[in-house]
Amino acid sequence: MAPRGRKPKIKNEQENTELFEKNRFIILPDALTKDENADRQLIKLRHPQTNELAIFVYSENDKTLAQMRSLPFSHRSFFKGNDVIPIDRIDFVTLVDPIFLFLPYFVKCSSMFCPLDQILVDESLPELNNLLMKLSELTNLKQIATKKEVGDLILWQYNENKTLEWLTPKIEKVSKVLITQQINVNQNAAISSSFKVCETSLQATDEQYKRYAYNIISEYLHIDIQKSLLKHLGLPEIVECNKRKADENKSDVNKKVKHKEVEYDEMPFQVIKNVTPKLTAKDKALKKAASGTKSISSFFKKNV
Amino acid sequence: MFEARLLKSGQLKKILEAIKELLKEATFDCSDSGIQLQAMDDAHVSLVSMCLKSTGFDKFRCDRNLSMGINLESMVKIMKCCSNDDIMTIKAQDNADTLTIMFETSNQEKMSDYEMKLMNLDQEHLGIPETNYSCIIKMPSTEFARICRDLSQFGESVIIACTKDGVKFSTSGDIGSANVKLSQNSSIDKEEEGVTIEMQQAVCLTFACRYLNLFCKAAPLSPQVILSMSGDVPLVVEYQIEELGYIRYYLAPKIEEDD
Repeated sequence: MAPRGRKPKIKNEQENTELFEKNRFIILPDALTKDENADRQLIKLRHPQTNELAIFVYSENDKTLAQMRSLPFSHRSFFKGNDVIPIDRIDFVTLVDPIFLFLPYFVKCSSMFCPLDQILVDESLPELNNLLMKLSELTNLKQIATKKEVGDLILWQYNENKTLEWLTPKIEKVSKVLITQQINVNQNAAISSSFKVCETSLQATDEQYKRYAYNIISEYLHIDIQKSLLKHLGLPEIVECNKRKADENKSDVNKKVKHKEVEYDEMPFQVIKNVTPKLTAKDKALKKAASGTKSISSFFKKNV
Repeated sequence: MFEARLLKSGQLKKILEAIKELLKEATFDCSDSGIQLQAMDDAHVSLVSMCLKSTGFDKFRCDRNLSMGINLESMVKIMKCCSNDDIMTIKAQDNADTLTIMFETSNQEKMSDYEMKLMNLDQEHLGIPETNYSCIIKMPSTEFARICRDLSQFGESVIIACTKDGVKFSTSGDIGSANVKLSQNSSIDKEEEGVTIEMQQAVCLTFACRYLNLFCKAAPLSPQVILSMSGDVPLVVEYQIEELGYIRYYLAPKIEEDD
């Protein structure tokens, strides 16, 4: 959740062709651009919300983990010196706290105290286990779990209250940033940056900012935790219309289609069935014929 | 429990034909005394009031007053499944949400039954005050239907003027104008074939022709139609249904155009 760096930097990736196609434009946060010799590697980990594999950038020496979110960006290009370089895909790399990735594992084993190496176990992808253990050294697990020492065994159990306490200040921070950056959090907001909409219509309440911040954070949370967090924040549960979704797995879809999907998401969940009888030509003619005639109920009194 | 048996299902068929174009759905109020229906069309310009007396049925039983919201289009569909001479029985339980309609041929060889879902209709009931009408015109229903049909080719509204001499229907439109004048003739043997006018005061009112045409759909129910008019009150077009009751249409007059 680190602020995104503004310095674009192009990385020539030769390794891992499976992950990388050509002509990617990667935007890195400042923290990752300082050290040229870092041992950065691309790894796949389960995304905490979708449980699908997503690409992360991990540096063992720097002790950083960052997520890569890519956006198909075809038919674009930029100049580098005298060369035109095409862009097929834009990637945003943002630092992420590994603890978010652990949450689903902890929730899974929440019924009892377990040693860490039994909690951070991916049944279908055992190759992740080592990595997860390594990542666990970067974090303070006490923020989401209760620790218990029995002899020389260290046991952990997921603690929802702690997790919520840990998440709440994050949301407050995000909403503060939203307020200071004057980001439009209006529902269904599609705001042009080149036109200024009159101030009054943009006045959002604290609750709206909080909800927007919550939506950002909950991209990294499982749906159950999302719900308890919403309760914890005291925000009423409403059908979210513009909830953003982490759907990296759909990243090959071209942008147009993607945009369409979002539109579908914006539809209210339940369409109220409006039983309006179809107007036939006859009905219309009758309606026309009725014009100029007084209503019959003006002559007859209503029976109560 | 409600049960009504009608020897000629054709009668109900004609009744539905007479109201289905004005009303899409209606509440049938059943009581001891019979079945009543009152409803306004969508535009709230006309009102249909129908009464079928219990004595007109072959068998009639209604333990508890019952209001059945019926989609008329669906009912017409069911009625199309019978022939005019079939014996028909309508049945519903108290508080039921369906209505059962059974047909049997007069020789009892074929029996069919249909179940129709009822609707919850929120309809307001209007009280129709007793009125002494200035003019009461009785004329053959086919004649009235013919006049309305003819005049509707010329204009959208019909002026009905009733004087001592007779009754004049007139209209005008893009083509030109049309006038039909009927005078009293009680010389004919059968009463329903003549035109009679009871008049206290001359009346002249304008009505939407299309509505009159819809009222004329009830012509098969009765050979005679009774038009009652008074200044600035709705016109009443009444058809007596032999032995069973009546169907009355009320139509508000058109507001005089000032221009």
